[in-house]
Amino acid sequence: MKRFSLPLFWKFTIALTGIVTIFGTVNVVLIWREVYEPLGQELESRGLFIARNLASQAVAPMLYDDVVTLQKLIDNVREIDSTIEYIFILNGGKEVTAHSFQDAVPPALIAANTVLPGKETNIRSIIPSERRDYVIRDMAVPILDGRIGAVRIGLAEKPIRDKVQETINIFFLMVGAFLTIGIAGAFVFA
Amino acid sequence: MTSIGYSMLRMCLIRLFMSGLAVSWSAAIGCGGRTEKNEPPIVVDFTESKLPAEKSAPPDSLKPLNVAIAGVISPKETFVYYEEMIQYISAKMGRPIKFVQKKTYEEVNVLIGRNEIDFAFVCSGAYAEGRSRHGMELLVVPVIQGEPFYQSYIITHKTSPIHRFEDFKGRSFAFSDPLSNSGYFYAVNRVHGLGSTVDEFFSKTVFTYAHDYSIQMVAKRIVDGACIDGLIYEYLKTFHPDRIEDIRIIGKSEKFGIPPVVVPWAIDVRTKQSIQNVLLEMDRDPDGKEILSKLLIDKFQLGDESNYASVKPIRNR
Repeated sequence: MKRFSLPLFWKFTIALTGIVTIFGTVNVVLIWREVYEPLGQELESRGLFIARNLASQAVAPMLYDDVVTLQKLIDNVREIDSTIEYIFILNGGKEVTAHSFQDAVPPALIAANTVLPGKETNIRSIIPSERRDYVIRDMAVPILDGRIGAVRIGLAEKPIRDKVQETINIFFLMVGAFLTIGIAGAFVFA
Repeated sequence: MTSIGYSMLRMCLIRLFMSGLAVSWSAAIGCGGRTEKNEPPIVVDFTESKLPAEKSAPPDSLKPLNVAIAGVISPKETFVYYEEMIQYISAKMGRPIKFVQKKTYEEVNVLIGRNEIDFAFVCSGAYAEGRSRHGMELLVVPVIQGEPFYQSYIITHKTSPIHRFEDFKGRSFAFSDPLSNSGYFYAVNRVHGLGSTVDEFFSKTVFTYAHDYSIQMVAKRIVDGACIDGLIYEYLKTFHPDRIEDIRIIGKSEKFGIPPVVVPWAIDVRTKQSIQNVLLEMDRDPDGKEILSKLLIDKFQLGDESNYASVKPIRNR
């Protein structure tokens, strides 16, 4: 049987492409992890900071049943930070007392996250049914240890996903450039 | 190189390629869509925004009783302070109780006058001012350290050179509420007794709307002095001594009738009777006794109108 033999150029090219593809893929995965995770944690820290701050400021208006002040608190926070998808405040009976929605708060959203007794926060990922590629991190923080209500805040993951995608795109460009140089080298040295 | 050598090299390259794939695959699995603490994301329909259905009115027996608490201390502290007692009364009466807090004593007095409140914990000054004007009636009074009386304390910073009330002339001073006996009436009457007016006597005055805020303002040297409810001072001294460590008492008032629990004149007699009974029997019930002891209250007893004769509201403020 005649033995199949590839020219040296193709051997170099296949090996180079294989190695670059494998390690490129591994690196894309690592970049995703190393960039996405810290950015996600930063997003959570920021969201929790805002929610805790709101929960602290909401105590007196909640106890005074001052919904106008509660609404102003929410409006002010949203004005400062446009990346916030939504904020709403629930009273002890899980009824919405103030919110940032155009209309009412979707009932399914109210039920989607809750702070369990004894916990300081709870974070859940929410996906809008009409936009399945859009992820929102919903953070719940109790007001006065949960005895008078809770603050809920939703921050979109889109800015951090865009940032990760941007990094990966730059990386792909670099991989493509190295691959081209490698193949050119194989052509010269084969 | 022999054909065996070629085969070995090829096998090594294939293995390297396969292990690289395996590594990338396992890494890829590890970074799948982020889920919090392994909980899957929840799909929510954001277009659905139905308003909650109107709740039907509960029967009278389950209609919540409204209790108002005048902001003697900050709203958060007030809630924490009264929460257990309110829950206890609610459980004993078998009816939910809605906790109503207002920033000023006047707002509570107005609610009582409109009969929007079933019972209220008010300040002695607010009672003296509002008993005829807003139609409120003594229900019970707490007994603390064996008596239904309390005092106003005049305080300053522990390092302050002030030692007498007269030394506050030309200095700043904090009042708690325009209807507070211990936090306003007493100090203003002292100033009047010196033949002066508040505007002439003090360089600056502020209303803090809570005795613990007045203490805080003195401790932080924002104002030179304040007049506060002695009961709040004693409560903080027992449970939060750190909050009063920077202040010094320079004088105490005579004894006044203690801040009472009141009801509106128009309250249903049976409701009034049952609230009164629960409060009067509280010290004879182990659970009630425990709650009272946390508030440094011995018991509740029927109030005596004459105890409030010495509370002199400031007219023409």
